[in-house]
Amino acid sequence: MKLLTHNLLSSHVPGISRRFPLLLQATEVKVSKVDFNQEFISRMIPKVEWSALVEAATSIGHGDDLPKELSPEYESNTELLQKVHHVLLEVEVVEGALQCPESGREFPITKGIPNMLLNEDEV
Amino acid sequence: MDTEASRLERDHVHSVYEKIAPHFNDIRYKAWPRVRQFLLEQQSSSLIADIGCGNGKYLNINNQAYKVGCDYCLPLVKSAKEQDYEVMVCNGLHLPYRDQCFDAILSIAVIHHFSTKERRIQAIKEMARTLRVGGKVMIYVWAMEQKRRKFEKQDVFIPWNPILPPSKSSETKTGSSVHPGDGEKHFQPFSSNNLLSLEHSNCDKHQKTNCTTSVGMADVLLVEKFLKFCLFSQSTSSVMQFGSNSNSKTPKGPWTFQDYTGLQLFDVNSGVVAFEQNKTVSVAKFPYGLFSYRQNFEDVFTFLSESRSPSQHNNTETRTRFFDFPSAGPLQIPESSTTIFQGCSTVSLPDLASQTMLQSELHRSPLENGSTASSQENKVPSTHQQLQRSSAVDSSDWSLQSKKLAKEKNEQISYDDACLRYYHVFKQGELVELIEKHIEDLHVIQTYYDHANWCVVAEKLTIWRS
Repeated sequence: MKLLTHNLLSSHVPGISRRFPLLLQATEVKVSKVDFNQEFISRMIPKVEWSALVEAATSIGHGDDLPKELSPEYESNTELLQKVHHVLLEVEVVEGALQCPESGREFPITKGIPNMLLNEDEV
Repeated sequence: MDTEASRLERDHVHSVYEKIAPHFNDIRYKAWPRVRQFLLEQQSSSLIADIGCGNGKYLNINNQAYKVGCDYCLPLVKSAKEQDYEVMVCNGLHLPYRDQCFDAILSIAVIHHFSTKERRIQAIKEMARTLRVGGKVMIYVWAMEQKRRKFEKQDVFIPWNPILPPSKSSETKTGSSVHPGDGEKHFQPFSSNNLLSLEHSNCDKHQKTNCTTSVGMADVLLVEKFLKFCLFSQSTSSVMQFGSNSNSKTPKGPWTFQDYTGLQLFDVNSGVVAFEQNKTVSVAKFPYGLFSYRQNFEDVFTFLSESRSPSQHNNTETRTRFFDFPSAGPLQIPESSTTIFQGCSTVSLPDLASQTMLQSELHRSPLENGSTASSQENKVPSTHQQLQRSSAVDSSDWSLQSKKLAKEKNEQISYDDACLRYYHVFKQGELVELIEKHIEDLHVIQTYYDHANWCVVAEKLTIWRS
């Protein structure tokens, strides 16, 4: 699971109010090379919840290069865009878990696949 | 009520897909053009969700967008993951995504698997929730109005092809019973007339006697399988399928199995479809379009990954015919069976797509996966095992006759009883109405019929209020 995917995920446990972001834990992280496309990243950034990305990257040891606040001039900052590219697309959680920020419910990530199914008694 | 609905979906959607997932995995799908077009229309850096992505058929289209897929079926999701797609397991009634995060959403052949109206609405609501304002959702659902299938009811069970597991002995027997000039008698496909005669017990004594000596084990198995199949179809009493040339027939004989002996083998390299008619193998060239025309199931496999050299046609002819259940079945049905046939007013044919797919597996080209004719045979038992594993034979509805038959060949039969998929087939306009009445922030901008599905493209207009 890439961190861009994590950025889209939200807890769907019923009856809670704080759903996002899911806390990320990783026991195995994979980094693979993905071709850098500056425009793609630049256009993606407004769709990303920045603080959640930084938090997730930090929680798995890949957040060092990201600024806590995103400067408005990011589009012209190739170096920053490359870092964002790396974090969004190249870092993948292979084994780990996602945790609901309110209920604490954990969703396992196995072989890169998050299992977001709730049990029948949970819905 | 909801528990019942979810149990039904568990038994007749989720678990069926888990069982049949291995058969999906080897096959490369061909994306439907209009779905592909929808995906390609999305701008660069779009975030696209494919809800019910299966093994990722649509996740490779538009590499300027970021796509995530999800499905309830873990084996299919695993298969998608193996192709490096971003996928997860989730329930379409509770999408694990934040509000308004997607620019576009795809829902191909998913909503028809929810068994109540409330759940279908809920599934669409979830997509609307996760769609940004101005974003578009494309939804395909199976249509009740189909050229090749007629449905009596909207809530139906569709069998996933009961394929007769092959075995070497049966293959040999089948093969040995084919003699020049004689084969037609044993292997003539069922036609509506044949079935009518069966229904009316018109087999004369001589024929019956004949059949007991000439019918090999394979034939018996086929008969049993077909009988069982009838019983199941009858109990679900839901679907009738018409061959394309059945328009002149009365409802009593709607089965023109010959149609289903059609697309058996497909060679992507030459675009050649080999098909059997009246016991001759003819090879004809067709454009790919024919394929999509004839296969109107949502999970139809196009055999683009399958290829087979024309030289193989002859030596696989017998086997092909054998697998082409039920057309390969003998005309001569044991006397005891006819009563059962009489009761079968509604018979659904095997899933054309999956049936043909399995056949294709058997004829996999050496180029494709390095298998040879002999290793194809090795592949057969594994398919057999899968089917056996997935078959929980419930004989409670059986007549005494078929019970007896089953007892005799018990250990060798594997039925796909459990592989009945639940569908709610949509009437024309139903999906649009569902959206317009119940999902206030979706506005239908397009609706059409495509590949036996009703399709809607809708745009999110207002901000979601939770």
